[in-house]
Amino acid sequence: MQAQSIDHLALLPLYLAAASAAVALFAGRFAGAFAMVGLAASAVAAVWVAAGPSRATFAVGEWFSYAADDAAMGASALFAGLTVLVLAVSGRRTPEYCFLLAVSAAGGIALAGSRDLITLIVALETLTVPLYVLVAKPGRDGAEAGATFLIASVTSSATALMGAALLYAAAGSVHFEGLAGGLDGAHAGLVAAGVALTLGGLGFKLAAVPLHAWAPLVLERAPLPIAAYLASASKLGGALAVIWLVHFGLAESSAASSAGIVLAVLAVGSIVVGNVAALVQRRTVALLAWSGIAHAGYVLAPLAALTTAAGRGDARAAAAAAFAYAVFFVLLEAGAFASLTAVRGEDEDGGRVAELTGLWRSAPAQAGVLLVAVVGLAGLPPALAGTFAKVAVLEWLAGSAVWLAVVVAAGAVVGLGYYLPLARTILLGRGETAAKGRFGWAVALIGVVLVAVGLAPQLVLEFTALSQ
Amino acid sequence: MDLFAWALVALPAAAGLGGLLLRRRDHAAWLGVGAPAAALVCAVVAGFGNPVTAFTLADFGSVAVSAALDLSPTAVAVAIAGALVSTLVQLYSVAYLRDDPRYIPFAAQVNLFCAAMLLVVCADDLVFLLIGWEVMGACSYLLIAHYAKLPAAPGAAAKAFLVTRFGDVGFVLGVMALGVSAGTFRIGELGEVSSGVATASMLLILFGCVGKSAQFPLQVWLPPAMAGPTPVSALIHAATMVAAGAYVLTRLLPVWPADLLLVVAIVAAVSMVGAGLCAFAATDVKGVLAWSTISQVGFMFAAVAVAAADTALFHLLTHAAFKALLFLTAGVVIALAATDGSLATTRLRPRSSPLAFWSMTIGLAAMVGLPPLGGFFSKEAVLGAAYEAGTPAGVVVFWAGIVASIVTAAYSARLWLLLFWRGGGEERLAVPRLEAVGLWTLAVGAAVTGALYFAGPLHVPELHLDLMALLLIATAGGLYVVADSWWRDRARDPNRLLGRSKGPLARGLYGEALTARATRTTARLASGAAMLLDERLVDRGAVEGSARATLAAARRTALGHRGGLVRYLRLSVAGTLLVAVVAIGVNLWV
Amino acid sequence: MGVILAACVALPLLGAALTWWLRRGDVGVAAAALALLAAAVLPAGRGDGWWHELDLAWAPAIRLDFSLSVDGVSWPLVVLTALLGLLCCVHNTRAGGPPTLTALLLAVQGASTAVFLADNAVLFFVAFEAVLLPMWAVIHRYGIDETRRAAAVKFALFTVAGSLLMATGLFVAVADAGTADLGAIIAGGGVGEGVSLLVFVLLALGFAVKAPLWPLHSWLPAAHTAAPTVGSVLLAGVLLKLGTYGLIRVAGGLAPDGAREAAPVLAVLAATGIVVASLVCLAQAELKRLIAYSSVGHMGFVVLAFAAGGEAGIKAALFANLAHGLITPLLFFLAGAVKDRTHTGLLSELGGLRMAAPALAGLLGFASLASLGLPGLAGFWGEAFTVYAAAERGGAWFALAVVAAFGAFLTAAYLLRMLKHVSHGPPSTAVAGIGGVSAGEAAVWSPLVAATLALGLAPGPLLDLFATGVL
Repeated sequence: MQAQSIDHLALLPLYLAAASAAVALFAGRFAGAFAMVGLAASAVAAVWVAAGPSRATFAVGEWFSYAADDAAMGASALFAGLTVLVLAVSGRRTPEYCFLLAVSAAGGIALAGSRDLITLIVALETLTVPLYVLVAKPGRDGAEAGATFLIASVTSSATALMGAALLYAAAGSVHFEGLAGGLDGAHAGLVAAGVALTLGGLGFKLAAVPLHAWAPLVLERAPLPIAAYLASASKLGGALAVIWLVHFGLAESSAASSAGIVLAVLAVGSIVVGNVAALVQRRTVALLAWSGIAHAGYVLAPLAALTTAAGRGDARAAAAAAFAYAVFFVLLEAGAFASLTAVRGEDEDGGRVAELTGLWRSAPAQAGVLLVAVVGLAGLPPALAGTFAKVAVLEWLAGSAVWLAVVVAAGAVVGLGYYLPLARTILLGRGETAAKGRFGWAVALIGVVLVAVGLAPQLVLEFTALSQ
Repeated sequence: MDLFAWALVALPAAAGLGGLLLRRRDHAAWLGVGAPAAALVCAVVAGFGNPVTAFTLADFGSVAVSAALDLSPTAVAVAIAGALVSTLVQLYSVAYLRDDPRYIPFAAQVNLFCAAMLLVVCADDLVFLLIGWEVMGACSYLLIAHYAKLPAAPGAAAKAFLVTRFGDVGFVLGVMALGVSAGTFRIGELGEVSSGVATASMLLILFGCVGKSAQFPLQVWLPPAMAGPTPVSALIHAATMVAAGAYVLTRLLPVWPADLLLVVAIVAAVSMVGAGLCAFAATDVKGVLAWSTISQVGFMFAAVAVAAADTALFHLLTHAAFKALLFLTAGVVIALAATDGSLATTRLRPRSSPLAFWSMTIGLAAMVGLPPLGGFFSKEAVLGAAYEAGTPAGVVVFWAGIVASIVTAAYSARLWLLLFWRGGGEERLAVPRLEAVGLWTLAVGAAVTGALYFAGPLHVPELHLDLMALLLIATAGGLYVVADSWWRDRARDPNRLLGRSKGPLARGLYGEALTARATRTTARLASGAAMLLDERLVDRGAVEGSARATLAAARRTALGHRGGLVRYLRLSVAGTLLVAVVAIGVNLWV
Repeated sequence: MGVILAACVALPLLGAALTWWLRRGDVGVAAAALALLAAAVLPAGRGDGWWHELDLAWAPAIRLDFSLSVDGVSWPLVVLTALLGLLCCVHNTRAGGPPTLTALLLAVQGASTAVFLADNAVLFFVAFEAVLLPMWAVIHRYGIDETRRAAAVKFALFTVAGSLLMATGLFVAVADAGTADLGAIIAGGGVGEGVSLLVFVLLALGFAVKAPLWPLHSWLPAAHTAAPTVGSVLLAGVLLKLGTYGLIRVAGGLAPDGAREAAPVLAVLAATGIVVASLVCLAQAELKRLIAYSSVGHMGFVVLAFAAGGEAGIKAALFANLAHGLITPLLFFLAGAVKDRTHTGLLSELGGLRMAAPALAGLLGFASLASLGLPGLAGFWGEAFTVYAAAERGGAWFALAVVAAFGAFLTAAYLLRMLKHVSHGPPSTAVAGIGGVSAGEAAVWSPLVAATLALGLAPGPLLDLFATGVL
């Protein structure tokens, strides 16, 4: 057996994240600070690596299990950054808390680089497992949230693993590039089942239909910072998993059509169920959670259009659109949850929408960011980040599957039906509740990021382009 | 010379628009009288050069609208008449509306109207003409509604505008169809258009002219329009606007398919005779004059029906003179008698105001067609043209014209008798000087317009002695019948000759009430249906219904997800299986 | 000149931010005045086709460039937008309205100007969407009616639905043409025949909501009725123009083949809209709602003219579009003045305005006459030549010409009914004793009156300008 040469530079962000997790565990009351510094360093490293030439490591023949290209490093930086944000709005926490979050971030970074099914699923589990603990607040509600999340997650992991096994059986390889070639001669039913189960299972993290219903349940009961993490970094993980699998593995194979069908069902189902159910939510987090399900649909929609598209260029465009949407979306979600945490307090729940009345007067900075995030999620200028996300998706769909574009458009219209009242509540009315308005710097940071990617979307689009 | 042509239209228009901004009454009066007087001068001057001038007003690519004026001798003659009557009416109004707080806008609107009429007369482009045509209608709307205290005024004004505008639906369509076919709107260049287009468009344009000229069946607006001040009736509803329909028809005569003129003839015949009978039955002074206007404009249409354009214009000119005179005098008489104009109460001794008496007498005599007054020549010319034409249309209008002459004599005599020979106050009443100027001038005008027959720009048929005799006999017959009735029983109105039909005829055979009711009902039904379609079906049904359905679905979805972990697992498993089955099924099936 | 182009868009937006920040309405007025000035100097140094262009890369990955350009079709609308924006700001500031409202108005103005100037499909879409929120806030926050919340939501949902469909259409076209440069696609004869109809239908659906074309109009009466006066003015004068401008320039330009195919459907809907809206107006009991519905009718003329096509049709559509943008805002200003003074908009409670406030009644009469298409005023040319354009197509189109001409008659009918209720008769209790027209009001209204008159008497220059446009 030949010893592999490992490109440690490619793994630098991962090392840094893992190291910060380890340090946090022993840092006592400075755990939060250390974790944040470490993860920030990881993000910087990711950007630095991305600036250099593309790297890859853990090769089996020509196939790499881990790649450090622009997309992966961009996503890594995002994982690290989002975790920093969550830590920043978490207030004073135990070292374990920081450790678990940092571990989860490390899982995300690993996921971003993964190029085979096993790495992917392991990384995804690393991203998820720490959250089993974190979502459980003390008390009955917390226990229920934890239990729900645990069982749901296990179910979906099992589903995904089952699917992966079927795919392996069909293709004889777990490497994405191996799948691309290996699936061609395989039994169609086997491939379809494998694709359906894998994508369905991975869709869990993204909270896509049919494994979506945990999201409102868990997000509502989890501590707000963890809800923020679940809604942003964790969803980014799910999105990446699906996009990587489809883009690197299935798009070019004979499984593309199965994947397209599955994703179409998932996307349309998510858009419909998420938007429609969000309409009648009266609690802020539940509303954001349901709408997040709809956004998962928008993320998947470009990939679903693969069935009607052909050729490598189209597949790249589809994945790029989905990726771009996912990034804009998790940034907006992070903004929304971070500012919500800031005004509600890190140990509180999200409360009713009506409790945000007049927030604009009592905590203008936090309300401003929340407003930008909500308007962005609705996809409207002046929160251009959301608009560009929508443009990215619609631009691809219009060229490949107009009907899906129409579904997305219809979903966005219904979406406006709940985002507008939310924005109105924040903006208007006299506030009775003295909102806390804390974590000014963290909220300002994500606010600046949102404005920045709104004005210069190329920052995001650069690394989501998947240009190789 | 072109400058005068443009000034002819532009001066009163500018005075009209500017006059709306004035604050002082005397300024308004000066401007009011000055502008049409200046236009009159321009018209006279332009008459020496007959300028034709044009520039492109609006280029729509496949067709262009030009601001084209063609001051042909006939146009100049009509323009002079229009400007002159406008000037006199403005002069008259200074005195007539001396106590009216809304005199300033009134004077401005009359000027605007005058400009519009002059534009119609001089324009050589159908769309350019349309500007004047409709501004005239709008001004008449404003002027009829002048009296704020008169409850009937706004309705009458709206009716006048709407009926003429209804006619204009046809007019605009006809003009556009002609423009499409000919590639130009210049009247002088219309040339050859295919007969189908000519037929359709001329019928449509005729409809517009019928509306403007208050001919049958769109006569309903004119009698109520008498709610406007009397000078307005004189200007708009006698001398100019109602005649504009006939005028435009004469301009377009070259395009008319000859066999279609029968339609014009029928319109003219029904209007001439029917309106004459209505005038005979009418119960107030201005009502008689209004109906008589319809009848007299019918004569112009009759001339058009036999393709005798200049004859129609001849009658237009004489009619302008005597009808303006009649209306202005009627205003004086009603003011002197201090009544509301009802024939039952309005009476004046000839000696009380000789000026009013003689003006009215001359005007009525001219209308009846007693030689040597203007009306005699013009009517004879119309009948002569019809006689010479030898077409079915000619036959129709000839006999209708004879009957109408009898009726004209009858209602004129009735009016004269009822106004002046039933007693009244003994004292001498003074006519305000400015009003008197108008009466004097127009009385002279009514008397001498017949001279145009001998020396003027118009080409009218030779005099026929036999027709002259026939006309005089007919007139005498009409006069005799009324006189006979009058001498038998002075206490009773000669319109009893009409017997039972008197009542219905006095109300225009209920045409106005019926159309009003029919229009209202149709409008109510139609707008009710539209409301139903629009608000119930589209807005509340489709739009709000879909919103409600979405909300209902939302509640259902939210409810379906309630139930914690167990429900969640069920949903997940079922959903995943469904996705897998769909994927496998589709894949195997494809 | 590229700087000036950018200034036309940036000045109002900057003004909006400053007004909001400093809480001072006069800053907004100054910004709007400067924007009007910038718009006014655009014709300097123009040639045929595009007069001036500005092209800055923004986000090449989604084909977004900040590219603005102006020609004979868009410039009049830019000036109209700037003018109405200025008038609204002056009106609001003079009436002591909240500075935030001025800021929102300026935001609407800036975004609309960007739509008219945008030469990039993505930028066009973004600008189109950007109009939505400020306008929603204007209706929702500063509305004058109990129904303002529902109206604002309806407006927002309709608009966003339309704009997303439009975006889809735009992106189909972009994908087909391989470029997002609108001018280039139009100059290249539009998209391929295969997708032309699809593109046109999607674009037309989007713009039809905004225009609005019957039966996609039902947001409009609600929004107009509920909006404050300045909001209604901008809605009628600017926002509806986005729809028609988009329909003529973008939908017609990108998919000429599709436009030809879909023209009959469009025309029938437009004609139906003219008649239905007019009939609804005939039974309407509220002043602002009546004027709002009249917009549906007028816009029907624009769409019908566009559908009829030909040079005359396009020119008529553009002209009618602009004329409506002058006349209906004037009507809304006047209706607002009446409602401010009498605190009612119900026709049954109004009356005798002519006696109580002659100048106001006179202006209302003028605006009504202009709106009913009196020749010699701006409303005439577009609508008359709509009839011409439809008649020019011949055949069944002549029936549509008849419908349009009849619609013009119905327009006269309902406007005269309105005048009869508002102006004539003895003064009602609500009307008695109201004030006349103040100098400030006269100053705000007079540009509209003057422009209506000028366009009516001399339509030639504007039509010649349209002829130089890129269509």
